[in-house]
Amino acid sequence: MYNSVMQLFKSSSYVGSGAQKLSRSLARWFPTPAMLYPPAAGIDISDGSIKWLLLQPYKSRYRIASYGEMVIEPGIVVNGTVHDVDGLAHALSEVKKRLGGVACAHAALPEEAAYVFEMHVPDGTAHDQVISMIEFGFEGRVPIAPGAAVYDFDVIQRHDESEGADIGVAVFSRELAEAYVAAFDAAGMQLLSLEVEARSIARTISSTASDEPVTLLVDFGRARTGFAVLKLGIPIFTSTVEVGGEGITKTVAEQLSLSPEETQKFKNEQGLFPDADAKPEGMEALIGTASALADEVARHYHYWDTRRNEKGERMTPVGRVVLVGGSANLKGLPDYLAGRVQAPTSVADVWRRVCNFDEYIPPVNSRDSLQYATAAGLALRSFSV
Amino acid sequence: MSNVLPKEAKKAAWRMYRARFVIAGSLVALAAAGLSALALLPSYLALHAAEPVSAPSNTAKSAGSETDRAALTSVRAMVETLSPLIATTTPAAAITQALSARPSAISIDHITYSADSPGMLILAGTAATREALGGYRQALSANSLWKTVFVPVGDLTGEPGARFSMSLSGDF
Repeated sequence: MYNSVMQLFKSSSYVGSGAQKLSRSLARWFPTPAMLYPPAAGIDISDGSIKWLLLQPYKSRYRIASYGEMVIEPGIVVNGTVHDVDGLAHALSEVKKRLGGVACAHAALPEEAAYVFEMHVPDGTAHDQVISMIEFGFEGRVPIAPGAAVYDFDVIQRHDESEGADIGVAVFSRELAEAYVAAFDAAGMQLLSLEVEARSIARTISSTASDEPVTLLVDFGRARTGFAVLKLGIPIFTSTVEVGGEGITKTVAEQLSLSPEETQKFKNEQGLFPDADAKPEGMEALIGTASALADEVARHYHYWDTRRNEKGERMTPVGRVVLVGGSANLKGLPDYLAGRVQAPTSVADVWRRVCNFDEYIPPVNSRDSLQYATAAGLALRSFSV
Repeated sequence: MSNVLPKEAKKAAWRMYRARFVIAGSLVALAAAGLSALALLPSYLALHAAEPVSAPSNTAKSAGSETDRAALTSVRAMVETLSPLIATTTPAAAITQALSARPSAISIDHITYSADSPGMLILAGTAATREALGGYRQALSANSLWKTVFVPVGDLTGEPGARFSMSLSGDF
C-alpha cells in the first residue's frame, strides 16, 4: 500500500505515462505522511437506511473505530435518488455526531443510476484523450449528455507489447451526484469521493491478484438485488432487479406467524435446507424468491460467461459468484445458486482486507457484516486499498 | 481510484488537502526552527557574554600575544557562561577555579591540560610583579583542589613583566 498525494491523482491521469510512473516511484519511496490525510468514514446510503463504518490503522491492518446503521424515513432516498436533500442532510448530521469528530466521508452512488462499461484505450493515451474517448463512448451506452454527467475511470489492466489498457468507466447523472454533495455539505461533512457501489464492495472482496477470475457479484438486498461483473476488482457492468429478501421475510412471517426476530432466525438457521419438521408454507416462500434470484443470477452469469470476441475467444469467463447484502445470509443460498449456475458460489468475507483475525476481532459478526460491505469498501478507500 | 464527484466538489476536497499540507509543512518548519534555535542558543549566549577584559597595560606585548589573550579571555568568559551546562566537566571547573584566583597583575595567555592521573594543568603568561606571582601561587596552594602547585624558582625571581609558567596537579 502506498499513501501519497500523487496517489490521489491516480484517477485523473492515465497510468501509462512516464510522468505518472515517476510520480508513483516518488510516492513509493517518499510516501506522504498519513497525517496529511484526514480520517474519513465510509457512508453507505440506501433507500431505507444509512450505514457507516470508520476504520483506523491497527497493527498490520485496521480496526473499526465506529460503525452503525440509522433508519431514514421513506421518501428521502428513492431508488438511490435523493428526493429530500434536507431530510438526508439531517440524517447525515446525526451520523456525524457518532463519528467521534470525523467530518470527512466517502460515499457510494447506487447501481440503479449508474452506467458502467468497459473500454479499451491505446497505450500512452493522455488523460484528456481518454476523457474524450469516454465521451465518444457515451453514444449507445449512456442516455445522458456528457455535460450533464459525471464520470471517471479505473484502469483494469495494461496489456503487454504496447497494446494499451482496459478501463472500467462509471457514469452518473450530474444532478444525482450534486444532490449527494449538497446533502453532505448541509450536514457539515466534507465529501471526499463518490463511486459506484459495486466498486466499493469489490474493494472489500477483491484479492487484487492478477489472476483473479472474473466475478459475478450479487448484492442480495432488502428490496432489490444488484448485479455487477468485476474484472480484477473493477466493475465493467452493473444492473439491478426487483428481487429482494424483504419479500421472503414478509411471506415467512405471515405464513408461519413469526415475529421479525424469529423470521430472521428461521431464514438464517433453516433457510433452504430446513429441518424435517419445518412447515412447508415457509419453504414455498423461500424457494419462490430463491428461484427468482437464481434465474437472474443464471441469466447474468451465462450472458457474461459466454461472450466471445471476433476471434471466438471468451472475453469474460466468469469464474465465481460472490454474494453480499443482508439477505445473503439465507441458509443454503450459495449452494442453491451454485447448483443453478454450475460455478463456485460463496458468501463474501467482508473483513478479508480490513483485519487479520489473529490480531483483531471486529465487533460486527459475519452475518451482519454482509450489510456493511459497501461501507467497509468505502472506508478502505481512505487507506488507498 | 475513480471519483465521480462533480468538479466543484473535487476542488473543495483539494482545497482541504492543500490546506492540511500547508499547515503540516508550517508545523514542520516551526519545529525545525525551534530545534535550530535551541542548538544555537549556548553559542549565542557565550558570544554575548564574552565581554572584552582589559589586559594589564604596564606590560609590553606583541600583537600575537594580544590575540592570544583576547582568545583566552573569551574562552574564560565562555567557560563561566557555560558552567551551568557543563557543571559536571571537572577540567572546565578546575580551569575556572584556577583563573578565578588570578590577581589583576597576572596575565594568562596559554593553558595546557593533560588528562593524566592526577590531572595536570599548566598555566603560562606574564606577571607584572614578583609579588603578584607569589600571591597567585599561594592562593592556589590554599585551594584543596590542587594537590601540587609548582612554579620554577627562576620564574618566581624573574623581572617584572617576565613570562612564567605554573604547573597544577589534582583530581580533575
